[in-house]
Amino acid sequence: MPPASFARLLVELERLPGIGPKSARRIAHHLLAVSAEESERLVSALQSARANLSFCSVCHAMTETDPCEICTDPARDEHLIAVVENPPDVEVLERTREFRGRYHVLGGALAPLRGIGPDDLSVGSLLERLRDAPVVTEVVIATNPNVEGEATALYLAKKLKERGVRVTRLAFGLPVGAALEYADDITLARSLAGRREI
Amino acid sequence: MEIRSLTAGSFRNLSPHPFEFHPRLNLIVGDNGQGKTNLLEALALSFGLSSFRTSDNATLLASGSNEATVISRYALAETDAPSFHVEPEGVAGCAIGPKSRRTYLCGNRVAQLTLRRAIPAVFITASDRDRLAGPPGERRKAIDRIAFALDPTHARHLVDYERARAAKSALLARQGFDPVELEVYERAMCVSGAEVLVRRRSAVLELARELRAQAERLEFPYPDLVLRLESDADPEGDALENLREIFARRGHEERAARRCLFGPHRNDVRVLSGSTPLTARASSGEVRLLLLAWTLAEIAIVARHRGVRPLFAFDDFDAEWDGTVLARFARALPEGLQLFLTSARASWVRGIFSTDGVILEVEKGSLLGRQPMSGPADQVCGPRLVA
Repeated sequence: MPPASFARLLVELERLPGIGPKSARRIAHHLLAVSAEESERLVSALQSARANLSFCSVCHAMTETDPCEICTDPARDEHLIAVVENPPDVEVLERTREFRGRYHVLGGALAPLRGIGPDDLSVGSLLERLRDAPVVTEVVIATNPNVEGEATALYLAKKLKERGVRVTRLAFGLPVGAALEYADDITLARSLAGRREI
Repeated sequence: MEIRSLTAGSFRNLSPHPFEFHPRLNLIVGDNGQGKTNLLEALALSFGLSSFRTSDNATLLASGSNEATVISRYALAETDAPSFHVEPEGVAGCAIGPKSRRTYLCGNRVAQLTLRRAIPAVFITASDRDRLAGPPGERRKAIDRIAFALDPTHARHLVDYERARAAKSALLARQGFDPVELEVYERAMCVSGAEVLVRRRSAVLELARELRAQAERLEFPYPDLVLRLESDADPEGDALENLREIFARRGHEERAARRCLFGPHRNDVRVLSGSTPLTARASSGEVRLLLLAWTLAEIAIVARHRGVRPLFAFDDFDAEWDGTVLARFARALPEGLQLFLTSARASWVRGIFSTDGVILEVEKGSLLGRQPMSGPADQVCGPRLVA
């Protein structure tokens, strides 16, 4: 039996997403092996993040100011909103430096099996946002390309088109730099269906 | 594909010593409850297939164990085409916990489906006896295996369809729901369901051709075999349009019943002799012979489309057959196929095969004796084989 305080640390680490018993044990040993100063830095970073971060009241992305920097940045294109499932998706799209519009984080995707319906997502606040800011002309739906993400995209498309806004979806296809022979059949079929003229 | 050996650890009553196999015929004999079916089940699990006896992992573990392992050593046969999906030889296996299962191929953890694709295997077990006469679920699974061999994307479409159906069922079961939400899952069911339906139609056509050829080889007494895919959708029409039309026309019935009533999850495959269901005319032995013809047809299709001959395992193969049918079975076995057959009647079945192979006698989960199929007994020989 491990000492009680070590067992407690393992239990807390195992609660984290993607961490199983083996990973929890490895991380716990690492945290105890590093200097007290280093582990204090981790504790302090966690406390600071908890104290300072919240969710933007406009787009629901993670932020230290409310509204967030993207929602208040005058250089961003106010005509364009990208709808994503979760806050990390904003960071992913920002890394591309291609998208200069604003965001809306749904907080998940429709999943009736887990009891998640439109009322459990920030769909209502998206519709309100469009009503309050009629300058928005295009909504890019960037939900994940799986059954739930696709259903959420279709649902939003139905709701948004009623408001006369242009609705687009991220394209599906081949990864850049990949060879055709390594593409799986479904990705290749979707690439063919979504081919464009050059 | 050839399996050279199987090593089981803490799996049911099987001994931890490796079971070495013959590249052609392995006739596994022994009294009831000695571990013949356990050996086939361990093979199936090591190829990423599910247990054909239980869905409760805990029952697969030897008493007092928390984890079981089953590991097969395989090699592509000379006649197999080199495969992108699998090394020419290596190990495939599975680690089974009370609530989990992890599958491995050549030391790498892989998805169950990847392993199934790499090591194709076809089994006939007690659960398949219902394939022809029982509820449609087993027939759908058999057709889906062929559709998967013809086009591996079938598995993805099937998963998408089932996820959309589960979501739609959950909505229908609720008291109130947003109709737009229902509509989007219905649309997802139409799109993935049409893909499933199109591939099942092709699979049934291919199976029907091959089934007639195999039935003829086995001298099956009903020559006018017809295989028919029964579906809510028009069998000839555009699958997507058909499904859309059904949901639009009969959606109110689903809302009233509060569950999914239409779609490919209700497909069935009927085997007819002329226009009569075959199970209404044939004896139970004849139905079992047709099951064998179906399975050999599946093997032929997989071998043709994948370039790899699957191995074939048949549990309790001689049940319900007389000597004449057994002789036909022995004659109809395709060349170059590795076979695993089990029987509780060693003396009854040992003389029917003229092919190369070994008789493996199993007792209490261990190999008790090993004897060539023809000629004198070699190194190890159990008491029943001597007799």
